[in-house]
Amino acid sequence: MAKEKAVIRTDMTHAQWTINEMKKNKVGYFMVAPFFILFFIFTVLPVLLSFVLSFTTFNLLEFPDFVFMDNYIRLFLDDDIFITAILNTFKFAAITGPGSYLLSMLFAWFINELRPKIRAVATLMFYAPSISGQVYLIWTIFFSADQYGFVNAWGMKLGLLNEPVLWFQNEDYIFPLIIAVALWTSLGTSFLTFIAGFQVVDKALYEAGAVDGVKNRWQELWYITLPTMRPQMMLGAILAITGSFGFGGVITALVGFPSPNYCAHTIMHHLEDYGGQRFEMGYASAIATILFFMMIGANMLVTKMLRKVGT
Amino acid sequence: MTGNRRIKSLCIYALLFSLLFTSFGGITASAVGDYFNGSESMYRTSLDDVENVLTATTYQEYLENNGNVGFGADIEIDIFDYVDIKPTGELTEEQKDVVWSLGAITTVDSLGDSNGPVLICGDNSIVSWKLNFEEAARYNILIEYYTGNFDFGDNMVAKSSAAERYVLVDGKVPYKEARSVKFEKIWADAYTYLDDNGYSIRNEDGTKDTYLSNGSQFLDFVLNQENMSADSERLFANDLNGNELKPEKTLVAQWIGDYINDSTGFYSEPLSFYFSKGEHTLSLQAIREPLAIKSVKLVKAPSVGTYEDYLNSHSDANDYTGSESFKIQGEYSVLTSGNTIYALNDRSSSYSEPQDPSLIRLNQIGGDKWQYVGQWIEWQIEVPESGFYYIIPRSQQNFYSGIYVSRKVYINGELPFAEAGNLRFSYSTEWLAEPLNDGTTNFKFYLEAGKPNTIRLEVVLGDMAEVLRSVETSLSNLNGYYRKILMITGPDADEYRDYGFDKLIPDVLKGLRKESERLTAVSEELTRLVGEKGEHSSTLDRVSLTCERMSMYPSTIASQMKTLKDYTASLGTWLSNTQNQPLSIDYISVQAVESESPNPEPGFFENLWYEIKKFYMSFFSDYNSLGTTSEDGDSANDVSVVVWTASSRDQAQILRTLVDDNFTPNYEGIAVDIQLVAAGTLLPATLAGTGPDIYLGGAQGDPVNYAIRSAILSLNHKGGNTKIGYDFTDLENSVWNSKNESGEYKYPAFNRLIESGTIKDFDEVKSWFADEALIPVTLYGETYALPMTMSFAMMFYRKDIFVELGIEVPNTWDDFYDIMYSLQSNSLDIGFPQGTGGSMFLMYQEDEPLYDMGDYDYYLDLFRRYYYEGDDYDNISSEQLAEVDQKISDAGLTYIDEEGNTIPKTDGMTINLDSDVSLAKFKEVCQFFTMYDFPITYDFANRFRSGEMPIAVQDFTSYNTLIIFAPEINGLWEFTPLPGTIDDETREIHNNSVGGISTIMMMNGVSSKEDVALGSWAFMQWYLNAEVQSIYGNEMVALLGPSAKQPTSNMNALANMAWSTEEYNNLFSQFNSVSCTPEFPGSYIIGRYTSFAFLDVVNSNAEPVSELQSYIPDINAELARKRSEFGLPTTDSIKEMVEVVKNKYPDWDGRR
Repeated sequence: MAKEKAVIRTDMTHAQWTINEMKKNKVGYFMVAPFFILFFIFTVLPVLLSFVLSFTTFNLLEFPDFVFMDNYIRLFLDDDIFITAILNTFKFAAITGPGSYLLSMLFAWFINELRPKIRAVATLMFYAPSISGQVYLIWTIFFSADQYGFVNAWGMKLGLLNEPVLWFQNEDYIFPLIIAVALWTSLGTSFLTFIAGFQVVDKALYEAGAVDGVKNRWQELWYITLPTMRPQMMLGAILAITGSFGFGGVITALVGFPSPNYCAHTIMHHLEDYGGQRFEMGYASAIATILFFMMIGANMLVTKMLRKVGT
Repeated sequence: MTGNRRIKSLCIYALLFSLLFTSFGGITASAVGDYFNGSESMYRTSLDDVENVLTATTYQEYLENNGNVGFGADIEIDIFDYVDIKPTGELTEEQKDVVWSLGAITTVDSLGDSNGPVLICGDNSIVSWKLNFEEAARYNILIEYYTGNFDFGDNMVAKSSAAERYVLVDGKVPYKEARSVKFEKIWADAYTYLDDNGYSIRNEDGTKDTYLSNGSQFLDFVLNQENMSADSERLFANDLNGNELKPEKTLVAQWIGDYINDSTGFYSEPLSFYFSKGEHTLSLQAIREPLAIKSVKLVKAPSVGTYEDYLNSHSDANDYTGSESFKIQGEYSVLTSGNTIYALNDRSSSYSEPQDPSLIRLNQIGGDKWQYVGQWIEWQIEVPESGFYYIIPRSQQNFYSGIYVSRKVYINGELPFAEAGNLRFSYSTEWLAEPLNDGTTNFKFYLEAGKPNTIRLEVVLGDMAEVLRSVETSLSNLNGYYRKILMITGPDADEYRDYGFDKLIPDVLKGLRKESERLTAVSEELTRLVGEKGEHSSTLDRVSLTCERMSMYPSTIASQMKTLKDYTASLGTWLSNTQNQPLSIDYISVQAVESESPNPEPGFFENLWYEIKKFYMSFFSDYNSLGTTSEDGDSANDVSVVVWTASSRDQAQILRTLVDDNFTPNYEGIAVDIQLVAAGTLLPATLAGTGPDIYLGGAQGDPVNYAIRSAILSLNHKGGNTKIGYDFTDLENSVWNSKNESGEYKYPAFNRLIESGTIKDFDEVKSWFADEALIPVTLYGETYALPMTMSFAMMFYRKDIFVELGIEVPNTWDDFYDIMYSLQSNSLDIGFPQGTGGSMFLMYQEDEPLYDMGDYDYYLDLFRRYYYEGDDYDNISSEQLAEVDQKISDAGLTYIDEEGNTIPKTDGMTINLDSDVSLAKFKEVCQFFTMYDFPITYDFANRFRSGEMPIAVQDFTSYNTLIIFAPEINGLWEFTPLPGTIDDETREIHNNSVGGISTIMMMNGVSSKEDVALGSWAFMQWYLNAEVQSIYGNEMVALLGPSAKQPTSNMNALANMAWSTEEYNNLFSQFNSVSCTPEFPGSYIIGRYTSFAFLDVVNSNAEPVSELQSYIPDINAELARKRSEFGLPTTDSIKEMVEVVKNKYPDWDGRR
């Protein structure tokens, strides 16, 4: 079919036309207004502002000075810790993002096979860690550096350790531990949406699939279940990405700030360091801008990959 | 003199020699103090003295050992005929055996209404009397003492808190309970007169007249029955919102006679003392507070009959039959035993009288303020005819489930019958109204008509006393056994090894079995008392079982050590919890035995209606505004100062009251608005320009951090630039005291305050703090804030364990190493701050600062040469020099100090952690953890209490935790100044500790308002003065309990707190040698990198020196970066200048 050409109106300008259309749909605009105003003030505006601030030096208390690209130049060429932070963030996101996503998916799939009552109990069990707020702090008790901490005490009792290990203060252990914690807490909202997603798949499709020659459960999953629940998977993916990029708070709670030798320093931490501790808001804004674009990039990548599901 | 000195130095060398080559432990350590020039800041308790008061004998055992001795005839001691005060100098052999008196003791002709001479025993005194007994006898001791305050000079100033004494017989404490005998004070409420709106009436000068709750005016009101209904007139003052404010407490000064009692409440009878035939000395040794005594008698305390006897003795009296009940509201107490017992607000029940759905009504008393043994509340009530009545309190004990609390009732000052010493109040989430009873019988009491009857309820342990006593004995024994086993096995016991405990420590095994039996018996007794098996008895059962298993199968001891430790800790917690006996009282109703008890709780619908009202009212009341009694902005001349505090609501409330009572009357023309904000609001608020004028409670680094960004103001700024600060150093000649063109004072209100000396100068305020406390808030001559609190590390140690091991408290680090070996060979731990936290003490003791400082002449010379445009600097004229100096100063490179010298702003350019001393000290501290295996992470309170960490360097505020958390080791530990480093030249011991402060800041919002600035300064200096800080500290303790001691930075205020004499001496000797680290731009980076270095050392065995060195460039780079951001000289800019200057003056000594 030939592409329809847009009608160019001569009787009114573009702006007039827009206003006209808006008037026609004023009810719609009116209804979206409460959310949009809040969203604009508290989300869009700060993002824009921070983009502007990233070209200045701003010490939070005095008026910002415009320095153009200085912050970015320093960020990429004169800040070793930032490079460490980027690497850590990618490492962390690359493991926990897909990891938590796949875990959620797998557990949701398994649980979906259970009988409804057991399913409810199992769902609660897996979902509990992520709803109970700061429950990850029990890991600090397990891995307490005190010789009477659980892991140290048992390790020493079983002869695996000779002296108490500073689990959350030792570069060798921090990264694996926080990844474990991240995966443990990751069975959150995306996990629930997956379970919901599995439930909405039309049973008739499976029958049709069987007739059409689906040979095993894997094919069923790949060609029928997953494509049907693509919206849920999209939501899950976005949650996984934001989750893995924004895990900084939990890391700080577990290993303190900054982590020993910056071994678990993520971009979020770098942001916090410059914004909260050194009062260099311009520089921090530059970091935030980069984090913003990294997340958008990751998002586009995931969207692209999800399109491949079922093909 | 020289000869003397030579001998001294000889001794020193001999001693050093011995220190180097031997480890005499205790012997050398105690000698050091004598030979080195006594540093003012060294204070040590001699452990010999400690031994005299450390006794393991319990009162029970003492009684059993002397069971057959009867009471002797009464003896009145002639108190003024005390043994002479110990002579100074060498004592002869004979004299050594004498028990002397010591310290400040004096006789005064009269005190209060004493009608005769009085003996004042200072807070450092031991007063001893010689007594002769013709035959062996047993006595209770009755002492008449004064409850008011007095001031008879040094060591004899009473400070409102209870006096505490050791009772010594022949120079030794006879049993544990005599280690702390308390002489309580008495408090009354001071009510203010109210106007029609319920506000306090103030006199013209702002003060308020008051009447006391033990006076006739109060009693007339309270005893008048009509006033005792739920909606009668109230005596409490209201704040502007209509909430009731509690009256202040006032000390009641009177003479009272009291038997020496067990302050823990384990024994309800007065304590007995046995004296064999012959001569003995009885001594009272001060722990805290001076004591004024009028008489000391050795007597037999009268015994009290049973309830039956009581009824028989009043057999002619009848039960009251009227239907009326006579009520006294709990909050209208007449006297209390402490200033921490006061009227409270209960919102839970609509039947609490009076109640309001939205406003605060002080409708009850007690609660957790009235839970410690010995605390009492007294009320008065009148009845129409003499006879027997039921006394029915509406009470609630909802703190400890499954257990009852006990009270003892005194009617008209006497315990009427033995059972009345053991009244029970059961646990309930609802209010109860039951006649006073002991769990089985409801008692009726004989009250007389025609006079007010006093009813006093005192916290006792009741039947629980015996249970708790046994558990306490068990606990201290178990802790001892645990330590003994620990000394064999070490902290990680190997369960597969046969230690042969039955051969090594058979007594411990026997002891464990005994404790197991004891605890089982106690648990059974407890079950009987409470009437059910519950969580309480199961705690005991668990410990009992573990002990039994350990004693039966010694081979399992190693594997059960951790269990035992956990269980004893939980036993300790149980013990301290169960000793607390909280009870709330709404009112006490006295009524006929026949009539029905009042209904204590509303029915369902009544309650629902109350809740609905509460919910509805919640939309209208502002719970966040702090009540005030004065209206803001009375007159147009007032300046209003906005103060923000991020502390708790309680603290803010105390502050509000203080401002109303103390600031507003004295500082006319200045209104203070206190706002409670969430922590972390200051930065955004300052950014948005909506910040306060004053912020209370900034962190140590905040002032400098804010100052370099011009967000706060300097307090001693000379330049006149109000963007930077004001100058409060000379208020007399300041702008606030100046006249305008027409010859009138610009600010007449301020003029009055300044002329009268009410507002103090900066310099005077400065002198209130330790000199060092201002260092962190001072940057290049400008002081940007004042210290509010200050705390520092001290050394905590367990006296009993030190005595047991025969080691002395270390004076120097050499001693410290010596005792380290003794402790570690007994598998005991030492607590030490990690990394630079620890090495900083050592650095400051060697006079080694954290940053590179000084070398001012060099830098000044450099700057002058650099900025001098001519080429003949050596012959520069003074005018030219002044011109150059001006240029330098304009470039922001120098400042003028107080003496008028020009000082370059080069301090803090680089870190001094790479100096030889610093590196060596860092290495030393790292070795504590790597070589000597000090624990890096530990729970100090728990390990200290169990004794496995008998010595630790901790912030002195840990004191607060310990006195509440570990009451069973009270008196067995002490905090004392840190060990010191010996100065090679002066032979003095430097035992500096590093202090941390919190701050009060004046925000830049006042930079253009000079009147508000002075108002703010007035508030700052008012808040920090000793009187206000003392009241604030005492109020905090009153409100939140003894664990809330405020580590105030004001030296005098800190001294005024309820420290024991020993604690005071220790605290102040350390206070005199506290160092604080300065703050410079970028200082946040230091803690970060040094902790990285430390962790590398302990985690991966890196070499401490090279590891720390590897971070030095990073630290210096960050410092330089931050400095250049604020236009301060950096290493780089200095380097450039040196280049330039060297080109100009080739022969200039460019050392760097």
